Amino acid sequence: MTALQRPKPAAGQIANLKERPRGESLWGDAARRLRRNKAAIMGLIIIIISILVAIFAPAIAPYDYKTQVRADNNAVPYWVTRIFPNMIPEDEGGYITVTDKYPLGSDALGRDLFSRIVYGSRVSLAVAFVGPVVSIIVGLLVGMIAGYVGGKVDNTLMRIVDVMYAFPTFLFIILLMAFFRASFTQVEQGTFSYYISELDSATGGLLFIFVGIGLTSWMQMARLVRGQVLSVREKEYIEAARSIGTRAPEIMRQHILPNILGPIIIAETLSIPQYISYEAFLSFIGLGVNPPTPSWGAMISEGAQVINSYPYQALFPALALFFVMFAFNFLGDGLRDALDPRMRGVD
Amino acid sequence: MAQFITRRILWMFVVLIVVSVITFFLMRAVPGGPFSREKPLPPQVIENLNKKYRLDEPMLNQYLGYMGDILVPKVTTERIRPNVLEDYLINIPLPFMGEETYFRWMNFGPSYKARSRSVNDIFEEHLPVSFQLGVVALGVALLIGIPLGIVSALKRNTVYDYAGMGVAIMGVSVPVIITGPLLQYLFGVQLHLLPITGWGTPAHAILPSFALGFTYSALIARLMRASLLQVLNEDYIRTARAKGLSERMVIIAHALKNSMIPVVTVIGPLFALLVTGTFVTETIFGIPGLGRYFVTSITGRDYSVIMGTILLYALVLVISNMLVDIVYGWLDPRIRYT
Amino acid sequence: MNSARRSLRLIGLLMVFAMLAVLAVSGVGAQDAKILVTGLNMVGADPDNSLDPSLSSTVQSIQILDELYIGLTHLNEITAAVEPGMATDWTISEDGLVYTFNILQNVPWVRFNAESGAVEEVTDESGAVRYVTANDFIYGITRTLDPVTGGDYAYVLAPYIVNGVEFNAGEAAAEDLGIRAVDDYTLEITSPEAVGFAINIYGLWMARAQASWMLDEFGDTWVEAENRQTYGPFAMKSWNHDQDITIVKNPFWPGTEAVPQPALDEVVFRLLDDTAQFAEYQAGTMQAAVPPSAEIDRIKADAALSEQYYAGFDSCSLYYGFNWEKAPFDNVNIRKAFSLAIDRESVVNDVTRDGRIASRWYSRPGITGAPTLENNPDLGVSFDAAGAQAALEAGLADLGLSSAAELPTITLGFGDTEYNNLVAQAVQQMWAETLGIEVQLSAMETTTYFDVIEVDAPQIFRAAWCMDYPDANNFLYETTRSDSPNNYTNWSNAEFDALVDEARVSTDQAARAEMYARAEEILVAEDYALAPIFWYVTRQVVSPDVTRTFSSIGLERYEKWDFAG
Repeated sequence: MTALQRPKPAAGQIANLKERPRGESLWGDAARRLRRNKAAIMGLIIIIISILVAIFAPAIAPYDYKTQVRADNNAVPYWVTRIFPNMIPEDEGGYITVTDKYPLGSDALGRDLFSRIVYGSRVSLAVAFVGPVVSIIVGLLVGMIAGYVGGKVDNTLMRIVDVMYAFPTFLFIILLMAFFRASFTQVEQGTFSYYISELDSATGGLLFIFVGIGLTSWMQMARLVRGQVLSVREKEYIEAARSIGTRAPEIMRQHILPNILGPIIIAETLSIPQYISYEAFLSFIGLGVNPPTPSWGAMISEGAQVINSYPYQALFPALALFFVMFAFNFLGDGLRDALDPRMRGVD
Repeated sequence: MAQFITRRILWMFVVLIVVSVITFFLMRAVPGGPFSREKPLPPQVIENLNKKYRLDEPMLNQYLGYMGDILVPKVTTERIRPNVLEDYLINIPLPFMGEETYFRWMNFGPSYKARSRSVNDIFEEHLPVSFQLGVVALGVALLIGIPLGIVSALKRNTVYDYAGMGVAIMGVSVPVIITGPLLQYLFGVQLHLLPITGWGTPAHAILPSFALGFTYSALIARLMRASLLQVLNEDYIRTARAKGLSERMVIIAHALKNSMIPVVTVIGPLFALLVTGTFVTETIFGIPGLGRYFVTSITGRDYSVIMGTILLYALVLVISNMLVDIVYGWLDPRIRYT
Repeated sequence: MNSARRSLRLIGLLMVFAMLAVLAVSGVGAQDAKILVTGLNMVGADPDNSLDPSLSSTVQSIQILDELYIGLTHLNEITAAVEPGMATDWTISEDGLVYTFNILQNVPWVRFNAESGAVEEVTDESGAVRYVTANDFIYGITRTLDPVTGGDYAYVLAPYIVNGVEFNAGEAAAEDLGIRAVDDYTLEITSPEAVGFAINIYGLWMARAQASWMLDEFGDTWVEAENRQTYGPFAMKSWNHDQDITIVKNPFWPGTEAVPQPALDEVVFRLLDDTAQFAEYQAGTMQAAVPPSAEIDRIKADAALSEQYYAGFDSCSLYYGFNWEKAPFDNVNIRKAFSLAIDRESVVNDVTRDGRIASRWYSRPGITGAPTLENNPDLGVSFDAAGAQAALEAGLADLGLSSAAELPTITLGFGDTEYNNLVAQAVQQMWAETLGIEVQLSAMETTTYFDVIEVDAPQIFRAAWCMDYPDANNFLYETTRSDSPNNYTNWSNAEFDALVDEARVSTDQAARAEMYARAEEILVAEDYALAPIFWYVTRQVVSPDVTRTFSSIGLERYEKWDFAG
């Protein structure tokens, strides 16, 4: 794979090239082409909106995510009963409480479903961003060292990656989560572990989910980065930099990193849906966020338990998840298209 | 080629050993044990059980004992009464050494939960089921994913592209825990067309393999789309076009084969994932596969089953990745085995 | 071309005929044999799939075992009374220690022969039929108590056989056990102390007859259907692990008043969770199923399904325990406040909504000795917001605190399952509403949780107990007495201990009921050692084509089920 060689500047740009720092033409060009991609822009807009929703959740949500009105359990506005024909309202001889209090109905404890979806975006988006960040940091470090230093170091690091890769991801997360959750609960106050466990419960149990996902997701990134580094390492401009005595970390930061960033961004945007689904799976097997913190994954798996009687409880959060996944997918594809040097001038 | 395979097999053993060490000590660090119950067993009973299963020995001895049971072959002369503590995967009769003489190898130990069964029993009974389901589901994923990816790539940024990708993304974002019950309700409860749960006939495989395959078709479709787009911009495709070949010929004869490489790359791990069983799908569709043992062994601290399933997965993964590398060579003759 | 097409059509026609023939044959078969298909939730996190009388511990396994092996005594599923099982009658010595059982003489060991498709009698080397004898019971009981077996429930049986506890601990020999065969059909069991409910325990699944020759021959694989030998009203036809278990009528079971010959030919247990069972039931492929509790509202609103729904007795009792060694639950008023603030009626009516009963005390009404709701209208605790607030004030005063905000962080721990989560969140809100205290929820991975509460329970912890045998002793003596290994509260009360000790050995049921009622009062409404939440019920939908008995013991007696008409 030689996806990102230094682009040959187009004739018209040569004059400008001197004034610009290296790489800007690449990014400028990419941004220009990304703007033309309607689907990617739509994706970007959806993502920005959902980030705003997550940030301003308290202002948007009509109710608090944990306030229960137990008497209002499983109640829906009338229109929902029209979508799902088996949800027959009470006054038509069925079992569904109809109320207009909740825009998308309420859950089993009488909490507003819409508010929980709004707040739930926080967890899902956090996972969507933290997963890649952890995997990029670890993967980049390991991959760049392995690729640049080469030799024994490369061999050792890649063998470690191979071994880690041989673990079934889900299983490894389960084991790690069980291990972390267990080791950091029931500890003396004031110790380091105690603060870690406090942090975990303050984040609704997200911390260990992040750690679990992070520890299992960097291997592919490391491989990718190493491959990229190997392909640019022998390029003339790196040779040149080395020959004038630039130190290795400097070369990596200034010369190698910008050149391999494209494929990394693409790979990560493409795997974001996977991180979100990890969280959903963990919720399904009971290792997800702590109640009553809402997350889309947890809401979907709770809703799936009642899908025959109250289908809306699983389908509405799934719809939210669908839109965000959709957005990340199209943005990822758009970025890929925009950053692919061979696509230059195609449109 | 032969050298390549030999080296990979040797490397495989190293990987398996390291995986076994990490798994063994990690799972033992998690609190609770196979005999932790909601109603706790009396200490005496736990002591008895620990003794029976050698769990009272020092940790290192236990690990070495476990690995010894797997790796060290035995030649036995006496007839073994069926016993979960000594159940070997490989039993070869040695008639030249006597009537009841057997070469026995690979004892993966007893299950501490299903106490009348050994890990080998569990593999023998449930792995074939998961394998069948996994292969069919992988087929479904490819059958949906590849055409979707091709259409999306060829009709890039059109309604077809968006619709195709929309379908694929629906597959990822609506998990089996939702599609499963919905499919069951529609085709089983309402239409009476297909069995809802269970395993045994081809009809039983339709709903679960579709639900499972659909989930992974998105991954395939997106890879296919990306890779086909890239290949279509390669010089040799331009050359082929310049030669005056029809667009269809260009795609079929040149582009498709080369754009399969990323797809084949993920088929390796995907194959390992699917054929070793999938917890959610098997639970929802009542399929007696191996997938649930991956999860229940951890939640139940069934140590030997945890070790067995993780080693099995690692083995399947390493082998399928090796096969993938061989397929690479066929897809792209420039790749050489070094 | 033409002929090829014709032959194709011919083949197609033949195939249709073949299919019709198959359908016809299977239709006839279904008419002849009465096959009931039901479900069994044996797919949980802890698949106890040995179906070994000495090892099994889950209610699902016991359901199957109860059809394959009959105990010396038998529990009537409607009245929960002790009836003759394999013992036609028994005598108890005057000191109440020695039980002599006369065993049915004409019950052969049987196995299902897959080749002939019939149940057949088991014969010994000489070809003589093997009948169930007192020695088979001795073998079964000894095997359960043998430390090498490691049976989960040995501890329930061991205290009621002389030297049972010692043998189970490896400190006595099997020969020392207080159990002997007077002759082939007379069994004598000696108990170290006179206890009324011991007669119940001698009939439990871990004290059944077992076939020693079978274990010798097949080793650990004896449990499989092709090897298994049984003697009860049903025999095991097939067992596809994680898929289904089929039991078939045993024609050699003589039939007794308590355990008649089955009317059904076969019962198929599909091993599925509630959701899958109910889907199959609605599709008409199962005649009995356990519906998910989330579906109960819909079932009750449905004209047909509501007729088929039945909520039966379940012995389990859920409570939130308080750890007395952790502040602030070392204070009785704080415990009282937290217990009174739980609106149990709202939990069962608004949250679980599947017919569970808000509990006022711990032991499940309906089992021998436990207080009943009718006789004890004022016993125990119930929701009382004002009382809870007053108790909180008093508690804070005791501790010298000016407001609830000064209390340490309070954590409620529970095993992370969907249901525990729901109830915990509801109760968390109740505490917030009534007491103004925000309790932290700590959902732990289930096995970790079992370990945690045993070693060091959180301030408040979720626990539940289901009966091993239907007597209040099983709840109050075995789980809440101060020295019980199941007492995670670190609570102790000398009066309570004295009461349950006395009630244990008393044979006067009226006096026992009074003693247990008093003990409950101390447990939940004086010391507030734990806060009872609800008593469970079973959920069942059964096809109207089926005639059946309505069980009050949590186990079905399928030998009494039949198809109507």
